[in-house]
Amino acid sequence: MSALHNRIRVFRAEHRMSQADLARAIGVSRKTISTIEVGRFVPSTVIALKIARHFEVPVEDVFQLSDGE
Amino acid sequence: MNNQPNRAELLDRINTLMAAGALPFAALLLLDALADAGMDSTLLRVLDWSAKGVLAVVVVLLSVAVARKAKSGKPAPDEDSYSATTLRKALAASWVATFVVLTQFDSLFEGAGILGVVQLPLVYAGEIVTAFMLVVLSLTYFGLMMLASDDPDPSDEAS
Repeated sequence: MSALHNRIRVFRAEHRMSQADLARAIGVSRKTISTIEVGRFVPSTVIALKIARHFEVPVEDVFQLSDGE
Repeated sequence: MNNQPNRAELLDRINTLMAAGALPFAALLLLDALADAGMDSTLLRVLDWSAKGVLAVVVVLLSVAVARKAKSGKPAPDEDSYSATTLRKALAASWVATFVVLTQFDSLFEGAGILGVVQLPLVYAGEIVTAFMLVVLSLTYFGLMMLASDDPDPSDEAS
């Protein structure tokens, strides 16, 4: 089974952004960002693209699919 | 700093208020069924007024949140969120649970014979099953939201 990993926390740290800042910037709630970060919520394509666009990187740099054993 | 909640936060609040409002509404249905069945006591009347009060507060808060959302501009093409997904899961869980209860209705109410509700008229049964559906919806929603509760973002304090 594939798992979706993300580097949102890393990008936030690089951009000195809080979860609330990022949430406001892309128009979602802070809870949505925090649950995406910990892998509890798989975001829609639109949210994933908005996050990647906000950090000006390809979406694959933020989200990676890793195949499990 | 702008402390106004954004549209997404308002949508989360609306979802939470709807799930919260389901509980006093369920209580009112149950109390109504009990009253129709002839049960009357001071405790039931107090509970009835308490549930009405809580529901009124929820409705007021919900109206305010909906009005603020309406003022916040056009809806985005995609307004998905953890809260919206959780509410959908809770709705599905309540539907499944209610379906199981309805299909097992006879045996369940045979078992409830000791409570003296075997001769339950259909109108009360409808109220009870609806109340059950609302309780499952509300508890599932808040259970899933609590599972996802997280520590405050440390960077929020720095910003």
